[in-house]
Amino acid sequence: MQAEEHKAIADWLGVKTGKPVQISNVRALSGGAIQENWAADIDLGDEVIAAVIRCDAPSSVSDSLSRQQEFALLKAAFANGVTVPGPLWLGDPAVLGRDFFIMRRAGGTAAGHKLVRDLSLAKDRPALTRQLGRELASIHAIKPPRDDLDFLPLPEVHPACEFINNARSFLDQYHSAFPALEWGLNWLQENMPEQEPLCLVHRDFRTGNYMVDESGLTAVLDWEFTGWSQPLEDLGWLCARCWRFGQQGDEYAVGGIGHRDDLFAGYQEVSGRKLTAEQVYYWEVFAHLRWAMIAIKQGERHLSAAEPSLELALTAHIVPELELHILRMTGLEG
Amino acid sequence: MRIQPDGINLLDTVTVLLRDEVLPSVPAGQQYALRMALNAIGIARRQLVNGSQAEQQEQALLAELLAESGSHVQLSRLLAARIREGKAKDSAPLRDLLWQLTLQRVRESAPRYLKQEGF
Repeated sequence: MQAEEHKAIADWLGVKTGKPVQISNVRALSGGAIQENWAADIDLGDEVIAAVIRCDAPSSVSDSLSRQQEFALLKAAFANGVTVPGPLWLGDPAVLGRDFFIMRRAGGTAAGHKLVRDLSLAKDRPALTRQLGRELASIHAIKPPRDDLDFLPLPEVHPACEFINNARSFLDQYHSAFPALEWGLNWLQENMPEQEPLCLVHRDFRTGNYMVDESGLTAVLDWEFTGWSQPLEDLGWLCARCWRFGQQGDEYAVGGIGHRDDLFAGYQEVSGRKLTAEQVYYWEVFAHLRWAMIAIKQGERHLSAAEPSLELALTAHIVPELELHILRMTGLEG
Repeated sequence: MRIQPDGINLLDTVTVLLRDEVLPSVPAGQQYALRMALNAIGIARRQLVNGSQAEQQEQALLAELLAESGSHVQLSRLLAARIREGKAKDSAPLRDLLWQLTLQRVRESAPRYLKQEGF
């Protein structure tokens, strides 16, 4: 971000707030091809806000959520007590020539590998695990219809069914066959739980996508896959073996950091709903299939030369272990 | 005849060099990239060691069990279709084959998983 852009944002905010706004200490945070994140200190004269300016990358072409939609989600989540960076201002696209919004900056780190091994972060792991359960329950308390979230499409069939249909259509036209995933998709179809009322589901709630500091959770991030779905989908994603960052055993079943019992206890505190590992099991299998489909598509971005990248190439090589795990979870073992 | 050391030997030598000499002195920010490179070399090496023999054996097994002929890709697609039709549920040989094919993919792409899970 250029100095004239800082000035443009400061001038725009000055008019918006009626205060003498100055922006300093602007520096790049992690980002991607789709959006950029900039840390900045925003001086409003009577208050200095540690902020993040989140904007579209200059060459953004994407079908994920727009910044405006993401801002609406953050506001809805924040209002419902979810620990998200406080949303501050939705940008006027004329200011930067691209969409942006400004939110408060959370402290801590999101790095999954670091969190599972460095016990100086979020020292009380059972407390962190319960907190994750409370966060999920607060997200799931948001139900459709919502005028402020009307950009999120309502699934026409059972969300698991929608996933299975999309996965099969994709596999039918893809250059490689995935017999083990076909086995897993059949299992998902045959064991599908009855549909329950739709609610807001984060759909990427896992270790690596929330921030912690020494004392605990500071922010739930990465809302770009959020949609209306089944609440247990989020619990399955968080508990799936593929998101434990190599940690083994039941005491690390929740994202490599905690035990399911603590997660479910936190969930019950807020929702009143008592969960069992059996109910979540279906969605753990679902998580492995969903991650496998995403991994194939990420590998294809490299393979098709659309975006040559060793990281994307290696993501395709995660698929076999997901396949083997799916076979084991669904009762097929040689 | 190709000159020795061969490709596998060279990949092994590169692995030792990168892992033991380069990695410890690389700044933390770039270690991830180097680890990815080492992982990729490992996969390539295992595929090179296996050559096309494993795939040929699989193709023969697929052809026999499915009672069809075709390339590995065609037969894998046929297996996938049979599974989707529900045929593998009642066929122990098809389930066995699916397990073996998948296990072989893991051996090449992620042997770490097999070790972790005690295979």
